[in-house]
This record gives sequence, C-alpha cells and structure tokens, in this order.
Amino acid sequence: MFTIPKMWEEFRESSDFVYLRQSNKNEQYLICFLKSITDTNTLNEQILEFISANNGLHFNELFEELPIAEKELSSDWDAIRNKLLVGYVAVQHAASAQTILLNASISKGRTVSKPEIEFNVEGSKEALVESLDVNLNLIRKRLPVASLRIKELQVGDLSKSRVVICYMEDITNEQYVQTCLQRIGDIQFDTISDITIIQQIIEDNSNSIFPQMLGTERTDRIVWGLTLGQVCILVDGSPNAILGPVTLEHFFTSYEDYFLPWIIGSIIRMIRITSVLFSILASAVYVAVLTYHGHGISNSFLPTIIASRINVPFPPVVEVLIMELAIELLREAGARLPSKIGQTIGIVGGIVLGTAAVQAALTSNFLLIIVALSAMASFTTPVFRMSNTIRILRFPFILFAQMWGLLGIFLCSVIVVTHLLRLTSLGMPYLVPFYPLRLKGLTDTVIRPPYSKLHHRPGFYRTKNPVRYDNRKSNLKKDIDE
Amino acid sequence: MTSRIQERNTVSPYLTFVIVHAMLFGIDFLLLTIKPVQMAGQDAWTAVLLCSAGIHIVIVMMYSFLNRHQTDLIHIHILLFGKWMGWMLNILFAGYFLLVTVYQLRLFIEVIQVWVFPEMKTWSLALVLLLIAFYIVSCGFRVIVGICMFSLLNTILFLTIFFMIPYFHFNNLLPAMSHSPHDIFGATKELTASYMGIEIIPFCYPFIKTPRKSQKWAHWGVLSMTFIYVVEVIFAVITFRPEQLSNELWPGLTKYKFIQFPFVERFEFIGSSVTVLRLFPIICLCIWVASRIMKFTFSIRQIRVLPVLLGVVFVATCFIPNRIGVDVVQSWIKLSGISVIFGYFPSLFLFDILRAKVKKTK
Amino acid sequence: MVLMICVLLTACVKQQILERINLFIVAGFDEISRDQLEVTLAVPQFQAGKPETVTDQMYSRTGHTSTGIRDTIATQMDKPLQPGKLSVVIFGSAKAASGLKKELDILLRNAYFSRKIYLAVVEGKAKELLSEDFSKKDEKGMFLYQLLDSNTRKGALPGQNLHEFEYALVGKGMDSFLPILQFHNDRIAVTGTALFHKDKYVAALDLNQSRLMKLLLQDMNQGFYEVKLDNGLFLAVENVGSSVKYHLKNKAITINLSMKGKIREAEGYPTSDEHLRSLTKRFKQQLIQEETELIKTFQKNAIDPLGLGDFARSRTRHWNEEDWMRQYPMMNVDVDVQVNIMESGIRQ
Repeated sequence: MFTIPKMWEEFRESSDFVYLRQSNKNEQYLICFLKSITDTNTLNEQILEFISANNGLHFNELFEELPIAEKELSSDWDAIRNKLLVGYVAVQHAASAQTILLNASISKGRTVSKPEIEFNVEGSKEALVESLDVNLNLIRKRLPVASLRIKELQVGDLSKSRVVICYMEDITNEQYVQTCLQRIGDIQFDTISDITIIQQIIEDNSNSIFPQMLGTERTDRIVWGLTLGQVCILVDGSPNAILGPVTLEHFFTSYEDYFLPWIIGSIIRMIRITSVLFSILASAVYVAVLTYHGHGISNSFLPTIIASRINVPFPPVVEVLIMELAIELLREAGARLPSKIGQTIGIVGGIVLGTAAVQAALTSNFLLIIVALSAMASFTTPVFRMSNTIRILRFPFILFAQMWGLLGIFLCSVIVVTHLLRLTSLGMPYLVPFYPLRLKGLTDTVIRPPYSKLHHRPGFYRTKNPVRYDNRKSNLKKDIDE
Repeated sequence: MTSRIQERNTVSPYLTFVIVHAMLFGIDFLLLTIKPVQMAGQDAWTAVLLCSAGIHIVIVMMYSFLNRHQTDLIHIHILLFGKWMGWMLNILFAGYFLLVTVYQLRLFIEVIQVWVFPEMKTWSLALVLLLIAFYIVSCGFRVIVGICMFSLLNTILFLTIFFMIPYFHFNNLLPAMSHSPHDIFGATKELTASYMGIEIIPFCYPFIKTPRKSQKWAHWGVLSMTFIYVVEVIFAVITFRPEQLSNELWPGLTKYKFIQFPFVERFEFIGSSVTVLRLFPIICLCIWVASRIMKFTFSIRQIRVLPVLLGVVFVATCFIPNRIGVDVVQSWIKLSGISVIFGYFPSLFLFDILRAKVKKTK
Repeated sequence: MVLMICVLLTACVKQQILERINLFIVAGFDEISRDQLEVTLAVPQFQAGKPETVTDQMYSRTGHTSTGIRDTIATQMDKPLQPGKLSVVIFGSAKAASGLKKELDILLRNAYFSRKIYLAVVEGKAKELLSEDFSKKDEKGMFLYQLLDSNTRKGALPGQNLHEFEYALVGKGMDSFLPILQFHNDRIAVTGTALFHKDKYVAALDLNQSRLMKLLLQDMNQGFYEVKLDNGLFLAVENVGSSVKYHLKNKAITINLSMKGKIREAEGYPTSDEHLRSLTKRFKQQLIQEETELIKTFQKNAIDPLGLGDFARSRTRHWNEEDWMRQYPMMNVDVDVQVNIMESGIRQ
C-alpha cells in the first residue's frame, strides 16, 4: 500500500521532492510532488486553494470536483511513482487507501524558433523544439486531417523517453509503420536523449556511414514527407525528427527547391549533385593525376601546376591529406565556437593560413583552390548528416587514388556503389528510383518537376493511395486564343 | 525439384536487358574490330548483323525450353539427362564460367599493364579485383545486377567516337559488298566470341520476376549491342586503314588517343581505367553462376564455396604470364563459347522438343 | 580487411609525381650516318611560382636506337625522364630522306604517346633548329605545337599528325606529306610541304604550292590567294568557302573545285560587274593552271599525296595498287574550278 511517508523515504535524496501536510480542520491531506517539474501556480491557485476552500468534502467528491483536467485515482505504487516523476501531484487522504493524481506538470523549454541547420531563404522559419507536445502541435496544425496518426511509445529504461511515430493512415504503407513500431519497441538502450540515437539503432545497416533515415528540423519538410507516404519519428527532448524510408537522392534535395520556380529549382538541384561529386572526387583526382598520370594534363596547363608545386616537399597525397585535415580542423573549430568567433576563426584560418601555407611552399595554390572548393561544395548538401558522410567518404578515395591512380578511384567507386546497392531504408532499396529503375519515380529526382506533374506519389513508397490529385481535371488542353 | 526463389531476391524483367548488355559489353569489346575487319574489310558490318541474327535465334530456342520447364539450366540438365549426366554437364558449365572469369580478369589486367601501369604485378591487381568481386557476389544477385546497371554508365564513353569525326574517311566503306561470302562468314565466326555472354540467361532465369516477359528484353539487349558493334566496326573501318588496324592490339583504346579536352590531353588512361566497370559485371555474374552450380551439385552453402572458386580463379589468373598466354586462353574461350551458343543450346532445344513429342505420343 | 591488403600492395606501382620527373614536349631526330642517329630533347625547366617563364634545357645524344639514346640522356638528368608529354616530333631533312619507319614504330608502339603528335621536317638539322632561341617566352615545344597547329590544322597549309601520317603511309593509293620548318632571321616559319614516297622524303613544295595543295585536300574556308592580272596588277582574294570533289570516269580523274571568294585587296581595280567577271575568269584560269602543274609535279615523282588512288579504290571493284601506280604518272587528271566572288569588302 502506498503512503506518502514511504515515498519520502525513496525520494529523500532528491532535494526537489516536496512533501507537505495540509490539514483542513479535521481532514488531513498529504501532498507530495517534485517541485522541479511541477507548476507551482497550478498547485497553489488551483489545487491547494481548492482543497482548503472545500473542506469537509468527502475524498471521492473532492476528486470529482477538483478543477484539473488530467486526474486519476490510483493505489498502485509503481503507477503513482511514475506519474510523480513526470510532474503529477499526489494527494492522499490519511483515511483513504486511494491517491489522487493531478497533472500539474510544467515543461520549460525554448519557444519555436528559426531553423538553424536547414536554413532557408524562402519558406517558413519554423523549426522543431525540444518539447514533443509543441512539435506535435506544429505538425498537427499543418495537417488538420483525421488520418494523421500519432502513435506513442516509451523507450529507454532510464530516460523513459516518449517516442512518437506519425504517419498518414490512408497513405503510408502499413509495412513501414510496423517495421518502425517493432524496431523502436525492441530498443534496449537505457537513455534515449536524442533522435539520432534512435536513428542509429533502428537503421537497417548501422555499420554504414550513409544515413538511412532523413533527419530534419523543418516542420514543412516533415509534412511533405508525411503526405508522400513517409513515416516520421519524433522523440521528446530532441529538436529533430527523422523521416523514413528515404532514398539516397533525398539527401541532396533541399525543401527550398519546392519554393522556387521549377526550372530554377531543378538547375540548383543539379548544381548541388555535381558539387557533391566534385567534393568527393576532386582531391582524389588531384592525387591520382599528379602521382601517376601527369602526362595527361594539357600542355597549356602544365606550367601552372608544376610551377605551383615545384617547391612543395611532400608527395601529392601527403599534401592533400594535410590540407584536408586543415579544412576539417577549421570546420570543427568553427562549429564548436560561438558563431561570431567561429566566423573570425574561419577567416583567419582560411585566408591567413592559406596564404602563408602557399608562401611557405607547404602546399600548392592549385591544391588550395581544389580543397577549398570541395569543402565548400560539401556544404551544399542540405542534410547535415549527409555532408558529414561526404567529408569522410573523400578519404578512402584519396587513399585508393594514391595506390592505383585513376584505376583506384574507379575501384573505390565500385565498392561504394556496391555498398549503396545493398543498403535499404526500412526495407526499401536505397538507390530507388535509379536501381531498381522506376521511370515514374524518376520525375522528382534530378529535376524538380512543376506541380502539374506531381500528381502521383512516387511509386516506390508503395503507398495505399498513389494519387495526390486528379490531374485529368487540370489538364485541359487549350488552343491558341481560346 | 524446382527451387522457388524468394521474391525479394528477384529482379524485374527489364533488367535482363541490363544483364545481356553488361555481359556483351566486355573487355574484349576493345579488340572486337581487328579480326572481322581483317577478314571482311569494309563489309564487316554485315557480319555483325548476321551474327546478331544467329544470336536472336539462339535466344528464342533458349527461352523455348526455359519457359517449358520454368526453371534454370542446372535443374533442366538433371531433369533431362538424369542425375549423373546432368551433374557432369553442370560441372562443365561451372568450369566454363570460371574460365571466362579468368580470361576477362587476365585481359583486364593486361590492359592495365599495357596502358597504365607497366610495372603492375598480375597477382596484386587480381587479388584486389577478386576481393571486391567477393564483396559484390556475397551481396546477392540483386546487387550484382545493380553493378551491371552501374556499368551501363560506361556506354557514355562510347560517345567519344564523335571526337574522331575529323579523321573519318567515308570512302573506306566503298566499294560495298566486295568480299566473298566466305570472308564474311569467317568474320561472323570471329564475332561470335563478342556475343558470348548470353549463355548466362538460362542460369538467371528463375531470378527474374516474370521470366516469360524477359525474353523481349533479352532481344532488346542483343539489338542494342548489335547497334553498338555495328557502329564500332564502321568506325574502325572509316578511321583506320585495314593495314593500320592489323598493327593495333587494342583499337578500342587507341581511339582514346585522339581525344583532347582543355584540361586533359590524354584520355587513354581514363578510358582504360574505366574498363574496370565493364569487368565487374561479367566476373561477378560468372562467379555467381559457378558458385550456384556448386551449391546445387555438392549441396553446400554458396558463401562457403565462393572463396574457393575465387581462389581457383586467382591462381589460374596468375599462371597466365603474358600476351601469348592470354591469346591461348582466348582461343579456348572462343571455341567453347561458339560450341556452347551455336552447338549446345540448339541441340538441347531439339532434344527437348523430341522428348516432349515422345512423351506426348506415349 | 580489403583496405589493409591494399595498403600492403602499395609498393607495386611506380609513382611518377609530376614535378619530380622530366618531361619533354618536342623531340628532334637527325641522321649522323647510316646506322647512327642523334636525338635532341628540349626539356622544359619550370620555376616556382612563375608559370609564365619556362626555359628549356637541351639534351642531345647519338646512338643506334632512340630508346637507347633516351637512356643515355637520362644519365645526365637529376630526375627520371618521362616521355608521355611528347607533342611535336621534328626530323632533320637528311633523316626524313632516309626514311622514318623506325621512328614511327617507336611513336606508335608506346602507349603513352598520343596519336595527335605533330610531325614536321626541318630544313637542315633538327638539333640546330631546336638550339636556336626562336620562342622568346614560351617553352619551345609548346611554341612549335602552337605554330604547327595554327598553320596546318587550323590554317591554310597542309600537315599531318601521327595518325594521318601512318594512315597515308600504310594506306594503299596514297602518300604522306609533312610541313617543312625553317629557321630564318631569328624566327621559325613553316615554309612549305615535304612530300613522301613510302616513308622517304622525296620532294618539297613551296608555300604557295602548299596552299594550293590544301585546297585540293579538303573543304576549306580560309586562305588568301593572289591573282595576277594581265596588266601586272596583283589582287588578293580570300577564300570564304571552298569545296573539292573527285570524280572517276573511264580511268581519268576529274577534280571539281568550287570556291567562294571575297576581294581583300583591289587597289586600282574597279569592282563593277564586268570587271568582277573578268577577274573571276582570270583567277579561275590561274587556279586551273597552278593546280594542274601541282598535280603534274606529283605525277612526275610518282607520289599521290591527294589520295587519288585511294579514291579510285573506293570506286572500283578489285582495285590493284600496282596497276594503278603503273598508270598513275601518265594519267589524265583534270582540274575543274568554279570561282564565285561574293563580296568586295565594304568599299566599291
């Protein structure tokens, strides 16, 4: 049987545990709560005042009349303790075996703010916050339909994190939801402090450097994904959500593409894909060409390269590795510092160090251009986790290029492609719609088509309802001057 | 007897196109043109068409017996010839595919040794290529076909012949049809080796989702390769003198010697390195088939037998020392390829029809 | 694991780091005696941070095979010699006259060499030409490459690169030709065309003849031609588009050349209609006469740089080279010229 004194014993070590006794004439109430997560206003103005104003009420009547929406009666030890831990107030009458549990929880978090990572020029400036309820509120507001399903699970023995799976009942393939539910249910890890932990645990292949779920902080992107048939997973305490299943190509599309006219959006998308390829391959090709295939450089270009490298004491591969590491260093340093100092560091490191390194003949200015460009190109990736992958992916290519020149680069790309081919995201092939080739799914990949062409959801999601809107109605063919 | 393949391991029928395309677009594509042009000169393209027609007929035959039995050749062998005979034939086929692997691998290493790294050791490159092949094959059929698809990117390089337009002499195609049918048939026989690769279809058959529909795609694959071959042969005729061509070893790579970009002045080392994309589909499919045959013959797991087969291929590759050795293997391959495609499959087809007739009358 | 093994295998391939090798863009071949030849290489020396100043160091050695010579040259160098960048090969006239077969084989056999290497014959010795200071700022090889490129491939003079030279050499019914380089008054210039019979240099054309020869080789849209009028006046006509076609009829070849021209220089000559017509007629006659003379020269030397034999082969079944060569010197080759003066500039 639960008694508050007993509870006191258990929580004695916690300074935020409050245990008070309120006596109304002859009625004695024992009240306890954790003050760190309890709203004292609610407590003082509604609960305590009500109790003192309504003395003489029977315990059960008191329960019914208390003006709190979330309340329950319980006598189960564990249930009461769990409720206390999330901000409930327990009220016990000395004479009763039952305990009233009243929700007076307070969540202190930041307000909805601008997206920091996925910053867009156009479009909404609304990003997820740490509070799950706020996040759900943001999503619900954008999708006011009954078919938006929100399933909640509790994960983590210690953190007791609330994990939520959102999907559209009439669109999303049931299989993906089941996979998510099952994998999240199977999580054994004790503290789930962020969505990335869930992501790493539930991914199809957790030994891959490629993210198989798309992390995002933008509510509009989440809603877009949900309406396409993706599943969205949120966790309390994380300002990010993950969307799945995804394909490789999703990581190179920014949601901003959809706000731009389709021709501009498509061109920007192509530039982005090219720059990613450049970012991965540029320094590897530099190593390969300068180490093995020097005679392939054109005559007019030769003096420029040789003149800039002639006093550099290292072989190209060492030179490239030093430069790549320097750039990574700048990046890490910039990321860990407050943004203003970060900028300064960037400028100092980039300009001063770069110039000095060339003048000291530690590197060729040609390489400096390549490395800086490829670093910049890697930032064009709109998804942060993918840009990390691309940074890392460069190094095996550089190593292979050092070993066998261009042949090595091709060998490495075969390995990477094989890896990508075997990857799946929640059971969906990672390279779809390119392999397996789905011609209809190709519409929204390299090219961002106009909205008149987006009348069907991509087939590879195997949605329950593939039609977004009936395009027959909108496709009236007009003649000239009609 | 027939084994059902799980649906998630099967591929769509259109990927037969990719398989055929990748198998036919092999390393020996680089030396495709020499012999036919030597024999039939400017009329070599007719030989390509003739050969392609023959291949189409063989594909029809192949699909006829495959569709009747709805399974792959391994099981058909055992069904038609009984356990021991079928067993023997399967082992022969496994050996054949291993030989093809060895040949393609060695040929590629030779390309690298001649064109990029003269001091490259055979064993080192073979080891790395086979390790990567092991990785690919162990991921299963779907991934192998994916690699085939990736290798189709290589076809883009085919467009490089447009760089050669200033060197075209269309007069070389004239006078048309001045060679005797004997010459043209000789060239056709030489070309059969380039069409080797379709013998992989009967083994992939059950891995295709709706196998009956894949026949169309197999024909398309051969057609598109025929187109590429014809263009390549015509290109060789109008760019080189036949006397020049007979001095060349790798006309497919020599054409890269004409390409210049503002940055890149030599293209041949890019071109020859890229051929690695052509190598992988072929060796992976061949090793996959060989290991699958072993799996059914000796009832062991495919992943167990794979390293053994790769080891055999590795040792065999290292034992081919030079150009002459490659030539010898090439002549074996040609002989066995022609006899498999134009000898074995048609006779199997006839045997199968006869057997069905006999059964019906009974 | 794959990576580990790869690392172990690193040592198997020889590295050729770009600035730690010696490249050369131009090589010269000279004949010393019947079995001795001299190879001259111009090896560019680069300076740190100054891509615009490249100097050349000349290396020259004699020996029996060019590879052997390359080896002895390498003994004088601080860096290994890499032949991959070779873009221009020049031959001394004596060397060209005694045959280029051996050198061609070297160039064609090595996987490093491009087929677009320019070949040229030097009036005199290649070594002497290379040691002259003809390119003030540029690297010598690059200068020669640009010179040949702008004058032959892109210009109005005939020239052949390695592939074309081999094509014409091994091809039946055609002969090869190369531009002639000459050092004169501190400058290098293309001064004509060397005509080859098989791989031997047999005759030379001067600049004007070379220009006329190129007209017969391919369709052109450049080049200036002087017309001498009856009154001793010289006019210049620019070729803005010419096309050439061969016809074979009854064992005689007709060459149809049609040219669209533009008057460039006509001081003292009115460009009225009848004047233009007479000019056209004059120019046409002059062209016919000069081209016929040119072909006569070819026939006299029994060489066929125009590839008339090859043309005949493509139009005749069972063509035979020997028969053809027997009748070629006496053959009737007609030149038919159509000239059309389109414009006269922006003046009357």
